[in-house]
Formats: sequence, structure tokens, C-alpha cells
Amino acid sequence: MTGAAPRRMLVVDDEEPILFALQSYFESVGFVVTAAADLELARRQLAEQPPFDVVIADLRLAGVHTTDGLAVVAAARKRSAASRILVLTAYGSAEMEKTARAQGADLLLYKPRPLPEIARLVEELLAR
Amino acid sequence: MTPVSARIFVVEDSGIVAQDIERRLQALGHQVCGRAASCAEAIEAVHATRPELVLMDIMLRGAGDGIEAATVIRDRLHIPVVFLTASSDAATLLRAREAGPYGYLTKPVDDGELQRTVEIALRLHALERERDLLREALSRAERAATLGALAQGLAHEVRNPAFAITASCDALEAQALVPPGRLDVVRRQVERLVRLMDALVEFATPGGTPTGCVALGRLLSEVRRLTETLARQRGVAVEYVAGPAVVLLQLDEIRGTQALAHVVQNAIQHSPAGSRVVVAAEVVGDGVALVVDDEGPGFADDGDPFVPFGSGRRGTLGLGLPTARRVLEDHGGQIEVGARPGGGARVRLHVRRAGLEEESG
Repeated sequence: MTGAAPRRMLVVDDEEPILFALQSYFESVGFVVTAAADLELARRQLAEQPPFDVVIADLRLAGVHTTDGLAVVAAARKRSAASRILVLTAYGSAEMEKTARAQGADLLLYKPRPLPEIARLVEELLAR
Repeated sequence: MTPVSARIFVVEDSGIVAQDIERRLQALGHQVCGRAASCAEAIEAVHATRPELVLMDIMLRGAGDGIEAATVIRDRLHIPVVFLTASSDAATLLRAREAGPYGYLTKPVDDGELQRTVEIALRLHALERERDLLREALSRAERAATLGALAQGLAHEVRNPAFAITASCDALEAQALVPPGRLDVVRRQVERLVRLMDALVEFATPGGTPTGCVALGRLLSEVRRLTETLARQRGVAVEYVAGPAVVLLQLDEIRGTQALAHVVQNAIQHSPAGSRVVVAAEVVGDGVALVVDDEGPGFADDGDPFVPFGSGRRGTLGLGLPTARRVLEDHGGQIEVGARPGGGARVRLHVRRAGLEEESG
């Protein structure tokens, strides 16, 4: 971080242990991380803060059958065309991937996935 | 309508009337397999002879009448009954209806009416049986779908905590709170759980009506791609003795590839390092036989390798061969296990060919 502003990340997941792990991991590899546990908190952070460099959102917030994560994706994409947006899901489909991309997601990843791998993919997206 | 020939039982307390009806039934091509004159006798004899249809007089000798006998025969034996009636009062006919007859014949019985009523009763009963079989199949399919949904839901529920565990491991290491590598054992166990859930979903998810087909060469190259990492890790050489690659198999490409890959993986997992697994394909009759040989310890005599988790072998999930069998059978194929001549295991898959007419050599 020589002179350059630290990169900022928003992570959204309703499962506290996952949220905490994502936050501590990405902080330890140099990101400034804001954590949000639900859609409303995520929307507020997106509205109040400058655009994030990276947004990582769980597809299903609060309940197996909701796809609130897509609303986070849409809000983040509306806020900034430059944000790199990743969606995490436990069980997806090709269709779901299409929908997520239509809302503005750059990448859909299946859980569980090693965080160093996710970090590498984030770097690749940022380098584009 | 094509004439039907059925085994028919006659319950009639008048010997003359019974004889007359029997003669006419025989003239129509049916076989009369017995006769009774009382309610108790009728129930016992119908139970013993299992006819396809019973012609039942309502008024019988002794205790009980034809309606009682018909009710028992319907409920216990599920054999259709047609009532023979003289002119009966309204109350009797109402009771008769409760017995669920497949028709009524009014005495004296007219030839044409006898033929039509018997034929309609037989066809109606056959249709009802078909309906019951369909219902049963539907309820089986529903149960399978429920099982699949349950497995998928469970797999989803497992993936989230699995990710919480592995992500926590990654975070702890990244923060240098634990020595590198210390948590690998946790990661491996989580990975195992997730693989198990995936295998369960694959096994429990109904495949639907199989429609696709795949070329033999394509199937084998996909299986090679899916299994080469495992083969390399285990130091096992997998040799493909391919038949004609252009043969089309009646097998969904994705599910078929997974099924054969399960069999090959299973063989690799039970092979000693430095040994060979041979996958051979040859055209046999209207299908293709795929034979997978290994030089491992072979199948144990006790235990069924096609029962989920029944292999009892360490290091495998116990769902590979059950899943393979399910896929094969969904596509009208077969799979069997045995011994390889000279030691080891042999798994033989028989897959139907698709588009035979396109082949000529």
C-alpha cells in the first residue's frame, strides 16, 4: 500500500461466522472491509459510503428460498459501474448464474470455496 | 372388440340355470372354472380357484346371499363380480349396488347381453388394475422426488456451515493465529462431508425420462478426463481398449459419464499402486458391453456393492456403484459385478445402442 488508497470491500452474508471470517480474511490481505448482515444494512452502506471496489454478497440472505442477494447486487451495480461484484451461493444453477449476471454480478461462486482462491479471483477482477 | 377368453366362476343355486349359463359362456369361448350354490361355498371356491370374473346370483341357498358373497370377494380377493338377478325389489338392488358390481344380468339371460356384460366387466376391471398400477408408479415417483428434494435441501444446509468452517480456517491462517497447515485436517474432513452430500444428491435425484445419447468415444474420453487425476495420485495406469468410437449409446451424456466414471474411480481406488485398470468396450447384440477390470482385492462375498453405504470398504463413499446402477437402469441398461479372471474385480455394464440403423460396420 505505498501511497495508493486502500481498497474497499463490502461483504454481505446473514451468517455471522461466514461474515466474520470473510471480514477478517480480507482485512488481513489488505482490504478495508465493511460487513453487512442483511439487505437493509447493505443498502445503507452502499448509499452512505463512497462506491466499494469489491462487493461480495451471499445469494440467499435470511432463509433458503429468498434471493435477496440479487437485490444487493442490483443496488451495488446501480451505485457504481466500476465495482467488482461477486455472488456466493451454496447451491446454484446455470439459470441462477445468468440471473445474477443480468443484475450486474461479475462472478458467481459456489460455497464452500477456499478464501485464498476467492481472493485470487478478486485480484483478477480488479486487474481487468 | 377382439373376443376375450376368461376363466369365469358361476354362483347360482339352480342347477338348471347354472348349466345353461355355463354352456353359453363356453360357447362364447370362456372357460368355466367352478360352480357354487351357497354364499359360504362361493367365497371358499372363488378363493381357491381365483377366476377372472364371477357371475353371482343374488338369491342363494342357506345363510347369506350373493350380495354378501360379492362384498367379501371384492374386498378380500379383488375379483370382479357381475350379478345375476331375477326381478328384485328396490331395497335389494340398492344393497347390490353397495357391493360394487361390474354389471347386472337379468334372468332369463339373453346371449348378446351375456357376451357384452362379461366383456365390459373384464375390460373395466383390467382398466382399473392399470389405473392402480399407474397410481402406484406415481406415488413411487413422488416418493423419489421427495427424497431428492430432501437430499438437495440437506446438501444446501451442509454447504453453508461447511463454508463457515473452511473460511474460518482460512481467516485464522491469514491472520497468523495458527501455524500454516495445522488446519488442513479440518479442511479435509469438511471436504469429505461436502463430497458425501453431493454423492447423496446425485443418488437421490430422480433422473426423469432419459432421452439423450452419446458416442462411445466421447463417453470414454470424458471418463478419462474425470478420472485421470485420481489415477495419477494412486499410481494406477488406466488403459482404454475402445471398440468402434462411432457407436451411439442410449445414455444421457452427463449422467452416463458420471456413472462410468464412478465405476472407474471405484476400480482405481481399490487398485494397488503400479497396477492396471482396463476399460474395454465391445458391441454385443443390440448394445455395448463396457467391462472395467482391476487388479485389486475384488468384491467381498458378503455385502452388496449396490446397496448405498453397503460396500464396507474404507476410503469410498459407498454411493458410486449404487448411483451407477441407478443411471444404467434408468436407461434400460444393466450393471453387474464379478471376479476378473486371474484375480481382481470385474464390473460389467451393458448399455443399449441408439440409432442402430445409422450403423453399418
